[in-house]
Amino acid sequence: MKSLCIFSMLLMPFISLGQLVKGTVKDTSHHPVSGLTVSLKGTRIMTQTDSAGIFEIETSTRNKTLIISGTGYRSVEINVDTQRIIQVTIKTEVNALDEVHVIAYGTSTQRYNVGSITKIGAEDIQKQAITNPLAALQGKVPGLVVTASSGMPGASFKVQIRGQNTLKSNQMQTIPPLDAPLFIVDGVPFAAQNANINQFPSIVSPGISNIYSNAYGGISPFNSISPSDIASIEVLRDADATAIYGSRGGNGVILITTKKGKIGKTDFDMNISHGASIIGKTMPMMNTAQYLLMRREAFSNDQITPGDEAGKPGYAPDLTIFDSTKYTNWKNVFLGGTAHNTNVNASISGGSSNTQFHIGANFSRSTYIYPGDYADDKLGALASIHHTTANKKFTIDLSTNFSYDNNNASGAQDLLTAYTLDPNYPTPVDKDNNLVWYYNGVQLYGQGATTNPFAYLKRKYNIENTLLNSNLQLSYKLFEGLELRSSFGYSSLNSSEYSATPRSSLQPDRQDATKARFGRNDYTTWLIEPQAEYKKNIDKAVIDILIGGTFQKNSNKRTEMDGYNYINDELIGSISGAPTTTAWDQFAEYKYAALFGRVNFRWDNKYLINLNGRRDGSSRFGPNKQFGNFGSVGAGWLFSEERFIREHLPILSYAKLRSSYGITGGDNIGDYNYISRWSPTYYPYLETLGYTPVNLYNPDFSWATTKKMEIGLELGFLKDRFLINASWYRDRSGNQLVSYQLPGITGFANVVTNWDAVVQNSGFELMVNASLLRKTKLHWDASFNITVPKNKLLSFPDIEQSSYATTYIVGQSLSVLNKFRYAGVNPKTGLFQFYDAKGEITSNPQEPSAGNFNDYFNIGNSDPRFFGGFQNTFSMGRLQVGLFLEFKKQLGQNYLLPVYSTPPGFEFNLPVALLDRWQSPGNNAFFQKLSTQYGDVYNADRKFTYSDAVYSDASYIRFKTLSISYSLPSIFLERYKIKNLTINLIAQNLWTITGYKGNDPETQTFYGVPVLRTIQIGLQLNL
Amino acid sequence: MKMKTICQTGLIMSLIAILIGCEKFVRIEPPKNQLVSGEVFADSANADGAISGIYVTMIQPYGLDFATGGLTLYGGLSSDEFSQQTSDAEKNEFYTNNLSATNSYCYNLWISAYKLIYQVNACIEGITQSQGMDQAAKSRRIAEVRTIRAFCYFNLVNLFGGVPLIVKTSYDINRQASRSSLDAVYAFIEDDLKFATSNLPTSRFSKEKANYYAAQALLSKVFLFEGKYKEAIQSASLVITSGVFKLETDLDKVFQTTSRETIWDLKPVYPGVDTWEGLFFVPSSSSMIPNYPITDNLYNSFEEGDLRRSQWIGTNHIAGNVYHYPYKYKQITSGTDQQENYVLLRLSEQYLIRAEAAANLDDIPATIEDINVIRNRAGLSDLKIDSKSNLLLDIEAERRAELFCEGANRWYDLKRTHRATEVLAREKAGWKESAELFPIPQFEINADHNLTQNTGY
Repeated sequence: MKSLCIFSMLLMPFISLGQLVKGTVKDTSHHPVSGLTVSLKGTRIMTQTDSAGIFEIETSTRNKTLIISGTGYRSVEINVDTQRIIQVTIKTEVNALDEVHVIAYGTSTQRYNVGSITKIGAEDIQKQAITNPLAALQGKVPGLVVTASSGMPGASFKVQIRGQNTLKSNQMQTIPPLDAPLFIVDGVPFAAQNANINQFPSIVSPGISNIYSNAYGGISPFNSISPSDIASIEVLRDADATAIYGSRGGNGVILITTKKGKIGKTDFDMNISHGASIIGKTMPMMNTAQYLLMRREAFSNDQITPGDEAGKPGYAPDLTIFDSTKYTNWKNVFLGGTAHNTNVNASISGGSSNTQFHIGANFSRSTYIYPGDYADDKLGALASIHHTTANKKFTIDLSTNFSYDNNNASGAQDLLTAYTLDPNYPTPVDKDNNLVWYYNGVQLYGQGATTNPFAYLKRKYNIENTLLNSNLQLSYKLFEGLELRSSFGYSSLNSSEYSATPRSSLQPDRQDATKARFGRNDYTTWLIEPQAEYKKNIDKAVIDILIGGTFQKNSNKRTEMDGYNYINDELIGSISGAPTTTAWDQFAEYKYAALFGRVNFRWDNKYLINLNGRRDGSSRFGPNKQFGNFGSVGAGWLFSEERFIREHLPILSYAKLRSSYGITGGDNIGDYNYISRWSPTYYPYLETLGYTPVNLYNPDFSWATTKKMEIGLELGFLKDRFLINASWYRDRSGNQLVSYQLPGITGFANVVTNWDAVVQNSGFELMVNASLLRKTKLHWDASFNITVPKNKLLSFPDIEQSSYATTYIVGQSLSVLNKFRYAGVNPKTGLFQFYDAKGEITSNPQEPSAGNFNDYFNIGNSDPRFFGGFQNTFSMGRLQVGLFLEFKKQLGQNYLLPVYSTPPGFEFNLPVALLDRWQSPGNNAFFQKLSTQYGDVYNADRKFTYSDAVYSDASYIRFKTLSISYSLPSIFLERYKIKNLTINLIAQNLWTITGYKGNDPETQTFYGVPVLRTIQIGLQLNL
Repeated sequence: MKMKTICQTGLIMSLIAILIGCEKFVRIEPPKNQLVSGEVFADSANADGAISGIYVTMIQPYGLDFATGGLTLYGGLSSDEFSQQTSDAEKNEFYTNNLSATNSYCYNLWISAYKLIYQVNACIEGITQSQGMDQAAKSRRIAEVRTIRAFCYFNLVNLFGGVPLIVKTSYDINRQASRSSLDAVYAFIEDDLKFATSNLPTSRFSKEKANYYAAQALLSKVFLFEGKYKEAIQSASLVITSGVFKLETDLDKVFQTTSRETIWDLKPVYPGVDTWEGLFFVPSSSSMIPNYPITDNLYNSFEEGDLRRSQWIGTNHIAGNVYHYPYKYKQITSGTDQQENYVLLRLSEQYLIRAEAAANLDDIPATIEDINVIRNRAGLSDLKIDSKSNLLLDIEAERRAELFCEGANRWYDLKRTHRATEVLAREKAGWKESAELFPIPQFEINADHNLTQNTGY
């Protein structure tokens, strides 16, 4: 056989048109790959690539297809027709189990890890049309809920790992303080964490009132980090993974790691993309005919004749004064625009074996769908350097991320309600775009949107954020096995804010004051973490001992200067231009110190044990209450390594059982609460500055404790082509630190104290990764994850006597919804009806009082029932297609709460759906009769907003991302010395399958902008 | 290799730092912009800061709050002074006398009063324990803040009925407080004011703070409300005959900072604004519809020629319609000079208190004399009377004409004379007797289960 081969090879030049092909094989980062097998398909002819990645092979007339393969690489087939010299790029194919994960103070792989960690890589992040890295996590990580607060540039994301642990502090607060994970960027706690950095409202951050229902809305600090700079994001969930962060990581940890340099030739990368976004599905609003009909009916129900006398109950300019034939679709005017998004980023990286570097820069500009010259512009730079001395003893790592963000919008949040103007409302601007305040001598005063929404477009809002995040790590190998190191981190996010009400936005004949607000909000964190790590292999044991300490200081400083009564709009950008000014500041400081030790022990690559112990100190507690001791233990068993499994179940290529248990502390209660404080008043009284008390005094509270438990099973089948990772967890938070709500007669709404209530978060998480097809021409990879969480108030001693009696129910979730039960419209009276506690129908149900629920029922909770994501990736040679679906099952607030905040029938436009109303006795309608007055109808409206009718299913399946990328064949590129050129097309939030009543089930806002639909086209260039 | 040495030293020093630094590290200083309570009452100057803080809390809130016009608006809507509110449902609940226990304006009145009471209590405790003042200095300051507390309780008891009496700062006790009886609250108010009148100086005081005459004037009002007519006359006389105050002859000057008629007023602190009543009640131009028009009933209740109608009520004619609004405060915004203070107590009311008390003691001549002082100032002739029962109605009418849209005087008067139902049932379709008391805010009852709700809610 062999001789036959040689014979045929010898003959080839003579009997066929075979030729010698010379090729170079490189990996995706353009480094030559040696040791690969290159074979001619259909023959036994083969060769290997040399150290420069070069090979030579003879082809024949019949066989012109080369197969290039090797361990750790994905095989490639190439058809060589007439080419003599080819360039081949080969993709690495590391077993997912052995991919490097960043963990607390080090790296690990899934194989030998005991904790619960999910990694999202740069590939995943870049294949989404997003501007905030938090958006990249949506639906990708088990146990992690990421919810957008608005579709506008810069808007915040609510991020929570494994549920809420803490009780809310008072009844007025419809929204509890959110238990947020710890965010670490390149080893430094991110200065602002996930706090909203804005101090002033704007259309991006309208506030939390019922109308906007924009819980946790604000401007996100993570908008300052460019997604293109991120190498990976790791989400750490269980006691073992988070223990080393102590109390800071009690609610989970999110590690963001930026791109670093690699050994090899210098690379230049550049990405350019442009996208266009429009608003997704919204509810259709009434046209003029429907609207006027609705208004006339409302007045006729009230037996009032609409009149033109302002201030009187029958005043209806829309019926008596405005043009009844005019129709403007105000939603198109305000929300119908297209937002544009441009991104450019470039980086250079490379290095020798001793020194590597990465330098990147990026720019992006996102405009708004609103009319007006609003945009968010960002500039960023990233630099990292790694150096090791020749003797490999001393290592230095420095990474720095700098960015500047300038976001311009309108500071008048009421602009969001502008689209409910009467459809026949006179256009409030004239031909020359001047604001119009009167129509035929009548003051324009829309009820839904008040005065003139076009004036709101002139109320400028601006926020400028500067981020500096930097970490220096020095390490020194004292002798083999022992390494001393220390990291020095600094993170600061400074935002400067401006919101103005200029004269030009005010009605000229009113004496409303002009005003400008100037705010600064500076977050700073520094961190020093000295550590000593000892690693040793003895026999089959691998031991890793880490001892270290943390010194961290966070400070937040806020100032605000307000200027009033500007005479000239030209000066409104300056505080010096204001005749009257006020100023105000606020400081907060937090210090945290800890000593910790960690022992990792691995025996025979089968048995894993992790021990963590620590002593935490926090400045949030009074003297003698500052320190607490916490710890965790984790264990893993790689039973696939056991001989009986290997022999009897060869299909099982990987199997690990892991478990962890730990206790962490919590100090998430705000600073200085153990001191009785007085603050100077904003204004002096009779030239004396006053002092007012700030808080009620309780010096005795201390650490809350969370006990976390997790059991996980990880399985790999068919040489790890199918990987399953299943976990069950149970976290119990006790000795709760709460702002216990007090009656106002105590002078304050709450006092900080420990409360003996226990909150449990438990759940099941599953992640499946499968390589479904591994044909040389087609690869199909799929990844699916699902989380089924359950939040429960486990115990609350004496809840009946407490101020939480009708807020929480023992055994139910903290997001429990206690509401009236809606019983339809009374066909006779046309009013809403409800069930009372006895199950009988009433039009006047009783609200809870003094610890009795009265006619309130538990109608469920707003926690997600389950959520997850489903990713499919198809690779066909140069073409790659990715599809990502996100899904969530939940109960949510529908459009009726914001709509019914002002009673339907009043002078503002409504969704067409509201036409299903009661009109005359005998009607069976969903909505009660319309009214223009604050009478019985209005009272029933209010009860309705407290009922289960304003909550409904808000589950959805969202086709979140479709990405198509195509790499141009290298033959075209070679000529221009281009290594790679890829064209990307990304569609984000293309459509959503939902039965949600309202605009969007994720943001659940009616007066707001839901996440946008985006189509983006991009070019990726590699030199 | 110098670098290496530096780094080695750095590493070793950091490790040493762990061992010694931990405990000290987590101690922090209080925030730069705040004081701890011990420092606040260290000496009289600082204690005066704490007292100033109470006035700022009273006058600072943006808008019509407890001591900035809220009593005027919500008392006026509840009675027959302000017209229906067509654009704010919760305000309209006052007009229709159909308050819900969750009404946020009602809750704000309650909360604001109790916030002030907490500050007063904190001052009393702090001053009492202070080492930096002598007894006289302490008593004077305590007397001042107790006057403020009496003002709060007087309004609370008239709005809500017997309210919980909070006298200490300890939240552990206060959070379970029960309601006190009407009598107990009045006794407590009297006690505060008697302490005040015996400890406050009668000279060298500021009328922009709670002073001796403010305490005396409030005391006379409290006595009148309690039906203690002799005591009412005595207190009112002390104010009237002191010679410190004088009725302004020009009605336009009554509410100005220079007015000699005001006994206690608050100096506005919010930049660019004089009083919130001026800002919100007076329309900014003659083509604007006022936010809070008054009722025709009120406008028509004035006698012909009453200067108070022409000078204290403003009128806008728009598109053939007529709108009247309160015009006691005339400054919408303040220019460079601030011209109006917010008046809590003024002299003319003392005449009316003395007149009413005298009428109840059948001292008709004294009654007529005091009433006529007020009538004559308003450009009206002397009062002609026929019987005592009508005389009381005349006084009620006179109080209405003089004190309309000022505090919640009209609302309190109708209730204390048990005439609310008779008068308001005529005006308002939904009137019910239980509406005389506002509801105890639902949030309070939910947080303190010992609080009971008023009937009808």
